[in-house]
Amino acid sequence: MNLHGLRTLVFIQWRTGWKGIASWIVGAVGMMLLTAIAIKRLYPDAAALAGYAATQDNPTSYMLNGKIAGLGTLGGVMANEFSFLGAFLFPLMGVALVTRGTRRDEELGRLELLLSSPVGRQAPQVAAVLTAVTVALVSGLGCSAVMAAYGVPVEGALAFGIGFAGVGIVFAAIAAAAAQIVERSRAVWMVGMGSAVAAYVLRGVGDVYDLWVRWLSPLGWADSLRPFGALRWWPVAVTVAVSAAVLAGALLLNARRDLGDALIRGRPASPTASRSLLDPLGRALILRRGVIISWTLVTVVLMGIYGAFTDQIIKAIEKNPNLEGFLGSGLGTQLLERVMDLFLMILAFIVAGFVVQGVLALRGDEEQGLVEYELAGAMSRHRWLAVRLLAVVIGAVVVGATGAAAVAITTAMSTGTASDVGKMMAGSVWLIPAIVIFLALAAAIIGVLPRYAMAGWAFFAVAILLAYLGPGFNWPTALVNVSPFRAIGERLVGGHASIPGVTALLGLSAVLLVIAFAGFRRRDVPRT
Amino acid sequence: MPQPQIIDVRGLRKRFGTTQALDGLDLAVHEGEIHGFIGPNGSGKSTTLRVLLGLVRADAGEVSLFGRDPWADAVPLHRRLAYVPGDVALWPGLTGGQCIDILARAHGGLRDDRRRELIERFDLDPGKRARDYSKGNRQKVSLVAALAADVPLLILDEPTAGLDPLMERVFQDCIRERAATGCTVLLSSHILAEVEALADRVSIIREGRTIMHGTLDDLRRHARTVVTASTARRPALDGIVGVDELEITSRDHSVETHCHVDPDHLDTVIGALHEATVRSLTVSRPGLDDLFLSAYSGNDP
Repeated sequence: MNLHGLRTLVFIQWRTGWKGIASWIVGAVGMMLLTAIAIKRLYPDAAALAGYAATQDNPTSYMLNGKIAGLGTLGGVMANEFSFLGAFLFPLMGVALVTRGTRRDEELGRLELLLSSPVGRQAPQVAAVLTAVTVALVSGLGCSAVMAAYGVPVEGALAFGIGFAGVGIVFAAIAAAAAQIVERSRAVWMVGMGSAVAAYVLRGVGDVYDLWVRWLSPLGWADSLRPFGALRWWPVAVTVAVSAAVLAGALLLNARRDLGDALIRGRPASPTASRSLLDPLGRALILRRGVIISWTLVTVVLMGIYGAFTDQIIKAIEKNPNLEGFLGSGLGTQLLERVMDLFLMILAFIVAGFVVQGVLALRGDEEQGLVEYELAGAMSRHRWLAVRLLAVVIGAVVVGATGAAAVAITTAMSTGTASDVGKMMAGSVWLIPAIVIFLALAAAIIGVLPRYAMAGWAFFAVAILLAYLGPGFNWPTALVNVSPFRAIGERLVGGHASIPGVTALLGLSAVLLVIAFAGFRRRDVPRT
Repeated sequence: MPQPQIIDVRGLRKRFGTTQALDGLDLAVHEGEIHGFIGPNGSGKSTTLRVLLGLVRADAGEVSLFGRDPWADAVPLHRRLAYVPGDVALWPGLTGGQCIDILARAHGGLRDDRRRELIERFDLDPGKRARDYSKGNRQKVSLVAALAADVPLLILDEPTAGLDPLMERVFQDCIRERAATGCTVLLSSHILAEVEALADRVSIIREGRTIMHGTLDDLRRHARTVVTASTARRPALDGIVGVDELEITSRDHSVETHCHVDPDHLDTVIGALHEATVRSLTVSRPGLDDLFLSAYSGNDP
């Protein structure tokens, strides 16, 4: 192993990356601080802490936060509240800091430059890992310090911080190995994120069903320190051993490969186009496959989490009538339906965002010159626009339908009433007009005023602002209902959508689509 | 006898905001010829090609492609042509081979035999993703796609930008071969040597207007030939019509003469030099760059 120039490389890492390094540390410690402040205020005494612990002693909470030892103590409550955030923050920290100094620099040709100077072959990799380990330790111990400052026993706080630092370190090692195995930094990120999700799910399943699989997850190792229960230190050795082994593998792989090479070289790239790639719609879908898949995954996870909290949200509102104002007062048995409506509105935000992004991406294609090149072929402009919009619609159906299914199923699991699935799915159909209007609006912008593509996002932001904040701030109903997300009606679940609103949205969408197609047929391409 | 015209543009005007991109441009391309379309950056070459492709609509003027309106009949016309844009953008995640298939098939359809042969001649790796290609290789992808398409018209916008000299040679060979089979080529370029090597006829444009057009020989007739001679005696060239920038210097036992001669009076000049006993003589035809520079210097159209 050749580590010549390691000190210089570590210096370069910190000199060029200090903003990122600082934000990871500030982010982690800051979130812990906010958590601690909130918990101190909300649960000031032992009785309140025990009350909180009682609401968290169920499978939903195990799945989301893990089964925290000593949940009734101050430290346990803080750990439980920080758990979800920390479970992704620390892995991403490790992955980000290592990817930056390894595969990304290699991809950009910076490693070629560095390694042509008297720098050892393994030095960049080790420098990146050292940086990540340091940042993870500082962040973890920073969290410990915050906890201790808010009255958590020092030893427990220390174990908690070291546990999460360990998570960051394992993922730094995973990223170091992935950087040797895959060819692009984006792929390293995907391996890292995939491992983070896997670690989260394995820990959750292990805790819900009390299974050994939690021992496959670095998060499980951190939890098993039991910082606020019967503290034990030996699981730290598991973290250290696994990190060291993975890192050794990464160094070994690095020593055996050429610069720029990888164990797995991209997907086998075909030198000829398949039939689906030659078809315009097939091509539009294949090229946006990654975008559709990632939106779908994020939507499913997010909506699933919302749904899983249904029961807790309803109980919280029942206990604290002040919260009810947001949804309308004196709801009684309708409370559940209003919560479902709120979830569906959030789903509509997401799918509308997907649609706006998908349609306005056509502007990017035009600026690059791809639209000009495609239209120089034998495809009419109407057909081109129709195909590209259809690809966005198909993507939106995938994102929307899986998101609706995820929230409906988890809601029903949380309430324990199977019929809630159908009720919510039926309600979600009424979201379609609120999403179609954004498709039509963005298409009209592309067709007539492509230079003002950003206006599509402005409309989207205003619509969300009106729908989400309007009622809480008691803005006039007439104004709030201008937002498509409100125009469809507030009571979708149970079948009380606003028929005039839906009709108006669909009619306006039709007009905008006609404008879009007519405008696109008439304008210059590319239009600057 | 006038040949059938594939492209016929008269008085074409196009304004973008406050810029008058095309200001009465004329362009005639005959069937089966390689037509050089020359002008400096920003003179309106790309805009003209986009009008011909129905991508940009003319404000005024007559435009016909295969006798039809390129704006109204874009789709059927595009089956009969292939296009190489000035700035080649490809799908970054697709391989060069996939891009070739998509682009060639989007036009008149792909000839597999040609595809194979062209990939070999241009020395292109079709299995690499477009994002990993250099600029020159992206250009090759676009050229292979256009040349492999089975079409009677090629519209090329500065097609050799980024190609190395070897590939430039391959490009010229391929274009000549296609022209020999009756394919019409509109070649927009500012690489004058390339146009000179390939084009049957040229149009030179400036600020959106055609300032010169015709065969290279025609155009040369308007430009001066450069004559350099060494003679035993002083030649009687003073006052002869069609002679310009005459310089005569006596040196030891010979007289050096340098002048620009109007092609119609070359005969007289050579006669005068002959009288003075020629020892050495160089007559160089005006190159396209001389034409281009003379078109761009001074005489405002």
